[in-house]
Amino acid sequence: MKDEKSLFLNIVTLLILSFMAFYIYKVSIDTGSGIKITDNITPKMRVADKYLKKNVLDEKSTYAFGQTAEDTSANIVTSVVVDYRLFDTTLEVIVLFVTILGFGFVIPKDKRSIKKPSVILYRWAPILMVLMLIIGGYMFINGHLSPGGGFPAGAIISTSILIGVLSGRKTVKSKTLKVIEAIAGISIFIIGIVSFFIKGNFFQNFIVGDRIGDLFSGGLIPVFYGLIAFKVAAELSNIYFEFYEEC
Amino acid sequence: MNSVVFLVVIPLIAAFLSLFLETKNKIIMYLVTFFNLLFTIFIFKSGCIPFNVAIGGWKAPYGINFVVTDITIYFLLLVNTAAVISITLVKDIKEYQFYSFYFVLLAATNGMVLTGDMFNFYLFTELSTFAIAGLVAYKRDRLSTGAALKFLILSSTASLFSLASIGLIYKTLGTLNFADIAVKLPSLNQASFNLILILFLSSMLVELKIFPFNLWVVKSYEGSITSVNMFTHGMLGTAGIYGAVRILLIVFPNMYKTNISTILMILSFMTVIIGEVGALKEKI
Amino acid sequence: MTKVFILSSLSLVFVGLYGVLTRKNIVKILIALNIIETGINMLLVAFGYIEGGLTPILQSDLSIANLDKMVDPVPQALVLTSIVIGLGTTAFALALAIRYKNTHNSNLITATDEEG
Repeated sequence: MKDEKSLFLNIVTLLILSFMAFYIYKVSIDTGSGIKITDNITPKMRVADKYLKKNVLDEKSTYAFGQTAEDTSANIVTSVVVDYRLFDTTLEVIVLFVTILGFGFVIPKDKRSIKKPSVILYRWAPILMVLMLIIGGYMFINGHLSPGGGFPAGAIISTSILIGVLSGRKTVKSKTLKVIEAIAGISIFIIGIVSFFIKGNFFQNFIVGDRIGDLFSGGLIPVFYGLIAFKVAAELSNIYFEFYEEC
Repeated sequence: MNSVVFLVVIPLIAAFLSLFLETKNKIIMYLVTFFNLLFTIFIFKSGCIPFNVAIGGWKAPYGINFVVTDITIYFLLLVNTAAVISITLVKDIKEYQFYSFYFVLLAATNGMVLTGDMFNFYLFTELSTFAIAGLVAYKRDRLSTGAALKFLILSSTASLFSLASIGLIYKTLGTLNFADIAVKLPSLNQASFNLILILFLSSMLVELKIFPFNLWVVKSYEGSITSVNMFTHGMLGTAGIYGAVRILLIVFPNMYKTNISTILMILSFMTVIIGEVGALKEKI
Repeated sequence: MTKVFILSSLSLVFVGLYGVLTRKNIVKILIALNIIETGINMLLVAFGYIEGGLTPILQSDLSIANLDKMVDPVPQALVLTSIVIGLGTTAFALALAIRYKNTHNSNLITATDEEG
C-alpha cells in the first residue's frame, strides 16, 4: 500500500499524461494541408452513406418505406451490425464465449454461503421472471425495428434467471445451459456455412423479398438475434451458477 | 476460392463441440489442425492466388473481406505448421477448457493473417489475447495467475489505444478496409497521421513483444506449460509479425518525414540488447 | 456540441490512464480500465455525431427523405461490439483477481521478481 501513495510515481505519471495531452492539443491546432482530425466530415463522405441509402450492390437504386430493398431492416444500426458487418458480430459472440469459459476455469471453488431469501422475494420471483422473459423476447424479436437486439435481450433474460437464483428456486440445470449455449453457437456458424452452399458466400442473407417495416423483415436478422440472445443469456446465467453451486 | 473462410469457421465450431467430447477432444484437436494445414496446402497448390473473398457478398470497402496474396499464403503455412508441431507436445490434459482455448487461438491467428478489415483485425487480436491469457493461467498456481493477470491488463489497455486509432481512421478517411485506407491515406494531414500511427504502433508492440512492452513475456513463459509457450511464440508471434508487415509497412507507407522502418529497427535493436542483459542477470 | 463530447471523453480517458499507471490494487486498476473504455466509446460515438442529427431508424417515408440528416451508424455498431469486449475483459480479470488473492494473500500487484 506504500507504493500507491508514492509521490515520485504520481509526478512522473502526471508529466507523461500532460505531455500526451499537449501532443493531442498540438495535433488538433495543426495548420498543415490535408484532412485533419478536427475537420467537419459528414457521413456523406464515408462508407456509411451507402449503408444509409441501402445501395451497396446497385449504385442507382432507391427505396421507399414498405417496399423491398437490398437489406430490409428498418433500424440501420442493426443492418450494419447483423448484415453488412455480420462477421464482426459472430466474432464478438466468440469473445463472450471465451471470456466466460475463462471465468469458469480460473475462479477458485471456495465455500460460499447465500442468505436464505425472504418470503416476499420467494413468492414474487415467478411473476418477475415471467415479466423479464416477456421483455427479453420482445427485445430480440423487434431488434430490426427498434433499438435493442440480441445482446441486451440476452442480458435481460439472464436477469430472470438471476432472480431465480436469489430467491432459491431451481429454474434450469447448469448442464442444460451449456447445451443451449453450444447449440446456439454452432447454429450461427452452420447458418453461415449453409448460405455458402446456397448462395456461394459465407454469412449471406439468403432470405430476401420482404418489406421494410414489417415484423417479419430483415431476412436472417431476427434468426441471428434470437440465437445470440439465447447464447448470451445462457452464458451470463452460467456466471451466476458458478457462485450458486458451491453454497 | 470463397471456401477460405473454412480456415476460421471450422476451428470455431470445434471450440463449441469440445464442451461435450470429453475424452475425444485430443482426436478432434489433431483432426482440425491437420485439416487447416492440408486446406492451406490445397489453396497454395490451387494456383488462383491472389484473390479476394467478400464475406456476406458485400463488395470490398463496404463489407468485411479476406485477402489472400503471395505473402499471406506463406504466413498461413507457417502458422498452421507451428500449430501442428506444438500440439505434439500436448500430453494428458483433461480439462475441456484447454482445448476450447486452443481452437479459438487457431481460428484467431488464421484470421489475423487473412483479414482485410481494420476492425476485424482488432477483434481477432482480442480473441487471441483472451485465449492466450486462459492458456497461460492453465497451471492455476502462483506464477501463472500473476502472469495471466498482468498480460490481460497490459494487452487490454493497449487494445483500447488501437480502438481509438481505428476511430480516428474512420473519422478522417471514412473507411475501415486496408486497401481503401492505403489509397486514401496520402490525402491525410501529417500531424494527424503521426497521432494515428503512434496509437496503433503502441498497441502492436505488445503483440510483437518489442522492448517497452515485452516484460510480460518472461513471466508468462515461466508460468505456463511447454506447449503453451509454443502456441504463444509460434502462432501468436507469427501472426503478429504478419500484422506488423501488413499494416505498418504496407497500409501506412513511408509518408513525408515519418520513416516507420527506422523506428521499428531501433526498437528491435533495443529489444535484443535489453533482452540479452536480462538473460545474463537470470539466476539458475 | 461535438466539442463538448470530445473534451469530456478525453478527460475520462486521461483520468483512467492515471488510475491504471499509478494504482497497485487490482480492483482499482480494473475500474480505471472501465473508465478508459467508457471514454473511448464516447469518443467513437462523438466522431459519428452531426449537429442536429436524427436517429438512424426508419419510421415512415418522412425519415427516408431526411437520410442526409441522420447520424453515422457505423461508430454505433463498433461501440456495440467494444462494450461486449469490455464486459468480457472485466469478468475474466475479476475471476483472475479472486485467484490472485488466494495465491498471493494480497490484491496488490507487486514489482518484485520472486512474487510473480
